[in-house]
Amino acid sequence: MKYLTPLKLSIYSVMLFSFFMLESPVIMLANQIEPLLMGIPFLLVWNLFWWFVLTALFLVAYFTNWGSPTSTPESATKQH
Amino acid sequence: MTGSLLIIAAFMIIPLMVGVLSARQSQETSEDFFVQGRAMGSIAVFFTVAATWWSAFAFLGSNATFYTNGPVFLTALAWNLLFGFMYYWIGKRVWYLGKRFNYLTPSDLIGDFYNSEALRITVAVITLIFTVPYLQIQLTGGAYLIEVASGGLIPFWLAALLFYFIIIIYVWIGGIRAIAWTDVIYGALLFFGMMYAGYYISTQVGGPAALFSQLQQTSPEHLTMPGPNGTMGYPMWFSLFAITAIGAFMGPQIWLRMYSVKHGKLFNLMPFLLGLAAFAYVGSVLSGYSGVLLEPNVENPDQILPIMLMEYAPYLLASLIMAAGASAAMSTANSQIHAVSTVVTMDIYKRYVNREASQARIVYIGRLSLVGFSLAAYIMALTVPGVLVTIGIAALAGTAQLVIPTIGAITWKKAHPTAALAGLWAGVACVLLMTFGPLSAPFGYHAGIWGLLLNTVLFVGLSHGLHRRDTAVVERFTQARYDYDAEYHPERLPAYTQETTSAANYK
Repeated sequence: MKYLTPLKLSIYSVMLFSFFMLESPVIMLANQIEPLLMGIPFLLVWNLFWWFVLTALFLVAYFTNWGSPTSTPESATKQH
Repeated sequence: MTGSLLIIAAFMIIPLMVGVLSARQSQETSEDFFVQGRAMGSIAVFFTVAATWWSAFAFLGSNATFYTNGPVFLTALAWNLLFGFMYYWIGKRVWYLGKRFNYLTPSDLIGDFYNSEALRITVAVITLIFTVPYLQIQLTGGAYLIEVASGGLIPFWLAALLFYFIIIIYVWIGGIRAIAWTDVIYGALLFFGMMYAGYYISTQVGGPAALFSQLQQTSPEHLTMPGPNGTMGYPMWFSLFAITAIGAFMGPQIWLRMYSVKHGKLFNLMPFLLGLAAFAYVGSVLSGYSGVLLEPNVENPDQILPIMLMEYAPYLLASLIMAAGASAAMSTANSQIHAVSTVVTMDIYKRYVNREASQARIVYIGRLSLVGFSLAAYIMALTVPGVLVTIGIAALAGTAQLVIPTIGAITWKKAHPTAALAGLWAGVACVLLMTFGPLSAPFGYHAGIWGLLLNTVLFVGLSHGLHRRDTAVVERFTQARYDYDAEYHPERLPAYTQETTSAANYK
């Protein structure tokens, strides 16, 4: 946590939360046919919604270098 | 009938020509044959990773699972996203180390970091043993499609033989470059085919909304877990998610597609692209569920899609979509054959048989291995029956075990070879005993999940208790990790000063 930038922390938090909504036992709360949305069963809508959130997040992550600053020549030349 | 045979012929010949053309750029070196000189560009990387990752398991297995077991395969949306994320988070580190230390196989990285021959051999054996059944299901799936599309004119055995004949020719001459080029065609066909097949077939019952409405009235258990058979509840939902993504990601064919990449920045984009492509599964939802209404009594569920296409779509369209399905199988099979031949050549032949082998000799042995493994998979497809998804998951559960020592190698200096070896053996034994042996997997979770759990506990526990004495190797990797972070994650650099007791180690 200590070495995460605020942006990186946000990206990883939203990602973990979205995976939690899809793959934890919480999914069983969405395991129902109704309410139908535009004729689509609720379980499918739930999955498509979180899929959309994660896909959009990955696009944001790409444009923001996954929350990492771009490297400086100084840091790149340091040696261990 | 003539039209569909022409489509099948084109499907066979066009990739062959592309493969031959791509071979013009080849050089007779092992690095070029196996990882395209680590210079694969972004379009080829996306298509070859996506087409390799999406297989007969996705194209036919998904429809079959919606058809027989209800919505559990919806978890595929999440596993595609997990696969994409791993390609970024693990893949980029593997790529960096591969480039730095000149790796070609999974054993190269794991064997080098843990400095252990036993581990190197174990990893090679796991990748070989568990890849062949997965290869077998590609052949089976592809041959089903060709057999149905030709109206039975091309029997299963001949379709499978044709398949492998074509693959061997272009991989023989072009190596991974030929595969990547053909995968661009296969990938485009595959995604088009899945989406359009689902949309088209659902129009036969009045469109998607009408499909769900009718299904709700006639078979509502198909729309919620645990499905009509009552066996596919949350444990299987989670198991499929974890095992499929991790198992496929750890397959040698995907490792080669990490090592081959030219620029690190491409890894940042792949989670988005691979996640976006997952939308094609909506096509499988529609076609699998349409099958419940239109063809409720199909004996072999893996054939539900081809059967519906032949029944309800115009003949040429049906053939084209089935060629797309065969693309899914072919694009995975070609990569797997190439990958296992790489493992045999580099991890076994070059390391233990002939260390002084010339570049030309290595490429030649790689080509001979292609033929040998193709033959093994062909014989298995003809003699070992089974449902695609069942065989596929068992194979993926085996390769998934590699993820634990891999994460250890790329992130943790305390990771110990004995711990990695014990974890791997225990994990694989657990998978085998619970899949084929007397034990049954508890609480409905797949054997692979229990294998991963046991593997993790042993790996972490033993690594904490043991100490590595080969400090030179550990330091070499710590330096590499430092350099990686300096280039891509500079915010993490202060962590290195925390880790060491002596600030003098840093300039």
